[in-house]
Amino acid sequence: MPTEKSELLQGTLDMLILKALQRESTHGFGLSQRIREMSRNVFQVEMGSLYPALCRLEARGLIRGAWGVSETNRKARYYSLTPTGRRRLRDERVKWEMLSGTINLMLRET
Amino acid sequence: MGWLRQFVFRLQAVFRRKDIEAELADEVQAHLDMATEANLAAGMSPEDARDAALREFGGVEQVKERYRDEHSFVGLDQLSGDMRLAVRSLLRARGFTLTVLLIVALCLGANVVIFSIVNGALLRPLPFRDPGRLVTVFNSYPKAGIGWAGVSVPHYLERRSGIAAFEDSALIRGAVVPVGDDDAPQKVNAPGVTPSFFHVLGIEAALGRTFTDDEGVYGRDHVVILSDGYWHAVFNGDRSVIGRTLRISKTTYTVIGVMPPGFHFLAYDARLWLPLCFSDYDKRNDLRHGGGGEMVSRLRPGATLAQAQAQIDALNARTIMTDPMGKAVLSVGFHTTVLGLHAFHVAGLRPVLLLLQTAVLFLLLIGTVNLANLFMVRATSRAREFMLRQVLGAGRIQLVRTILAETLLLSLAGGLLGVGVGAAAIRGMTALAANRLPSDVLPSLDPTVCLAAVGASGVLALLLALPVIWLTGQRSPAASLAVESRGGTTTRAVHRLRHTLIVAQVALAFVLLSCAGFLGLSFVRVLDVKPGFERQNLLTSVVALPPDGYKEPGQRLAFIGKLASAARSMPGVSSAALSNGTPFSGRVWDLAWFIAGATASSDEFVKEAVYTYFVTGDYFATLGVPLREGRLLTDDDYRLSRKVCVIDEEFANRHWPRHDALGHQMVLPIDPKEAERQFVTIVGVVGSVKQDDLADRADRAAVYFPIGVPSEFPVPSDFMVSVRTQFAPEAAGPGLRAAVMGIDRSAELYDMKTMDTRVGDSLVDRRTPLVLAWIFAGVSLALTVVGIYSVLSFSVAQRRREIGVRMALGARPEQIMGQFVGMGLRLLGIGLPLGLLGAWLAGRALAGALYGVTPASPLVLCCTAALLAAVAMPACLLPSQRAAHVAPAEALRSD
Repeated sequence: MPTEKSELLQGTLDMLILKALQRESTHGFGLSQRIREMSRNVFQVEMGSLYPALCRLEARGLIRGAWGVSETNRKARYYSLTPTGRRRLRDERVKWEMLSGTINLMLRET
Repeated sequence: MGWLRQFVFRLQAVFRRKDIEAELADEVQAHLDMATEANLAAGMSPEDARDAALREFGGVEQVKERYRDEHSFVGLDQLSGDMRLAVRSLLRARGFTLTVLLIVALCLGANVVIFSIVNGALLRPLPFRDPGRLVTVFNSYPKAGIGWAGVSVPHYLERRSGIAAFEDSALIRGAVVPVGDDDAPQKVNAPGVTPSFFHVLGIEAALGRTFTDDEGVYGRDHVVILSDGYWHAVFNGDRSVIGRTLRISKTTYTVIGVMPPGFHFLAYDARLWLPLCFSDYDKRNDLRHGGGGEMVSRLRPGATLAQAQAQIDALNARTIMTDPMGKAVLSVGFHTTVLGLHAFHVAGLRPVLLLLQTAVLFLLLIGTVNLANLFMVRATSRAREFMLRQVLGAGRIQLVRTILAETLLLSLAGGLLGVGVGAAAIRGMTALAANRLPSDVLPSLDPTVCLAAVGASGVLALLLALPVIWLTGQRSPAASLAVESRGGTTTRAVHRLRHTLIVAQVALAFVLLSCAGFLGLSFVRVLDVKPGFERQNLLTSVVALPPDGYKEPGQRLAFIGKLASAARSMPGVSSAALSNGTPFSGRVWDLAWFIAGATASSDEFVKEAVYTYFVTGDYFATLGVPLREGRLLTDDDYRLSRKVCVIDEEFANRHWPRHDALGHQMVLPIDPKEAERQFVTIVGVVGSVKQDDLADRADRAAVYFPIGVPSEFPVPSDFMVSVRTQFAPEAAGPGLRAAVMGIDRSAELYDMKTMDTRVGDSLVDRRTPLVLAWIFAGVSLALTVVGIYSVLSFSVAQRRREIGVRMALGARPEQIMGQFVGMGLRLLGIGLPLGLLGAWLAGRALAGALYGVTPASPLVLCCTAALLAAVAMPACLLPSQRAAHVAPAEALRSD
């Protein structure tokens, strides 16, 4: 397992955010933690990308943001998946699996 | 849907910017706090924990900035940037901006005014329920000169029930009734309408109800409906007015309803509405072609005009068999027409409005061409700025946006000014000319007009931006750097476009000017028409007798005799006459008469519509109508009720071309029934006069009876008095008033006018479009001159260097000047023939509005060409002279 931190592939951040929100809603900090854990510390999400991405997803109606109170009793904005977002995640995963499968296949052949 | 959600989301952001900023700050703060806590939990010192959190987060401000980018309208921000830039650069070029605004405001303003009338008259549907199904029905007897005749009661009744295509029909008859105090009643416009009227139009009363069918029967008809105006003026808008009474024609009427505000029927200026009842006399079969009213019908859903027309034709063919006058009316081409109510109503207004709208659109076109040239000139002189921006990295799109922003800003601002100009003009016009238009055609700035103005501004902006964008796209930065840095010349294509625009402008202005010329010349020709009487030194007035004391014709006749001699003996008056009306008074109508023995089979009567006068003896001397044959009428003719009459030349020529009219007879009454038939002998023939329009192509026939002689036209209780004066006719006014008051103080005088004024008034319908056309033509001429001048001077300014070189090499100033004058003349030389062609076409389209002028009048066309050339010359010469005076040394040194 590489210990080096890797750049996120362009366009995948949205998908990862949707995935990270699939189980339960969380706030921005929680999301950055969760993505890092899910990638076993490989992916380091830039806050400069995370927040604009959240805003973009909200504008597209894939996630919904609402103010709530955190486990440490702090006011924070919680994001959750909308039904559209859930559908989109499923579609994205199918697409990604096809894409990555093809790329793996191609890489193996050479 | 996705884009819509995003749009709403972002739009919200525009308005909630402050909230969003605060939320973002909160959110970032929460993140930092939580990260710090996590670090603390991992065992860092408080300070380290905070620093690490910040470090990991990255630049807080950068994050916020990128967040904002997601959140806002980038386009909107850029647009406002473009607009700011446009405003700044336009403010710098103040002269240019003002010129453009002025031209746009003028051209659009003129269009707004004319379009508001066109919209009101031709486009806006009539304000009734489902107005497309409303039609009017009228009779005509073309060979007797009657194009429109009302529908008689028998005709109305059989058509109302017998035409399947009609859902329902109504008859309207205009009337003026005395209302109020029996002794001093007021005359009020109160048309009679069949109870079906309101149902046909689909209009309900605002208060109370409309007539029931029952109320269209004599005896039960003493009910009245008020107009909103009358309700407010007389009853103060009192809502308890229903059930109150009004004295009308000395009978008590009960108010049953009030119509909504703004309700009026076409040009009827009704204050009250009364039920129209039919007596047995009205329904008589031999009155099928007598006086009736205006018939309005509503087509059944799905029924067409053509079906209704076919059904009426079939009905007419059936009923004509039993019509006692069937043969007579068929011989004069009797037929019935069904026409859309709206089309019928605006038929008279349509040609002149379309003419004006076309003229004013031409003006806009000329203005646009001019503006396009101005914008091109500006773009050329800004080539360096654009080039610089391109070199510094501005993309084509950005330059296009800059150009669009400028033209859009100017067009919209100009359009707004134009709407303002138009609104002011409309207000002025409604004050001045309201009574010249049908009462329901008040020009107003309604949403349609405003929308059209805004739309026109937008189209204008695009049209103006296109050549500039094209021009900018023509050059690569490198090329323009090479050309422009030496202040050299622009490309050939650009020159060609500018020259084409000038040619177009000259041609368009030529068309507009020659049309104004055609109209002007025909106006002069109309003024030159001899009306057949002496219009100078003639004062006329209506005199109305009070009802009391003049019940008997003899009493009225006595008054007339007294007034005639009193007026005649006024100082400075050479003769005076009384009559039912005079030409150009609108009080004399063409009535249909039967003439005995005018055709080969002398037992048949010929029906003929002629203007019918009832006069006292001195009428012909007072009006100055000359005698041609036989004798004039005398005072004795009316005093002794002699069965004689005088006809005019037109009438005589029509029926007795061999000059043997004298001794023939007219048949009275209008509807000859054997028993009551009277014969009136023709004793004289007088000159023809123009009846109410100087521009009538053919004279209208007239017949003059001694006043009171035809028994169905008893001596009227209101008539006109005319006096011929030896001095300014207005001065006789007080004397005439005194003469009338001297006989009976309760008599009324009104509508006192000199004959000159009456004739002049009849020309208003010609004069108003003419004045407008001249204004439009004048503006277009000015625009064209400015256009030629600006293009040539710009050309000179641009080619200073070239001129300088050539002069340094020995070219003489005359040669340089000749070159530029030649250029101007060439443009003129191409534009004028094109304009000539356009003017010829326009003249043919105008033919209907012309009088005594052929559509290709060489006089007008030559004058137009000469005028255009004469004003274009200085516009060519001035810049050319400037070119000739370029000092070579200076020109080469500059730049």
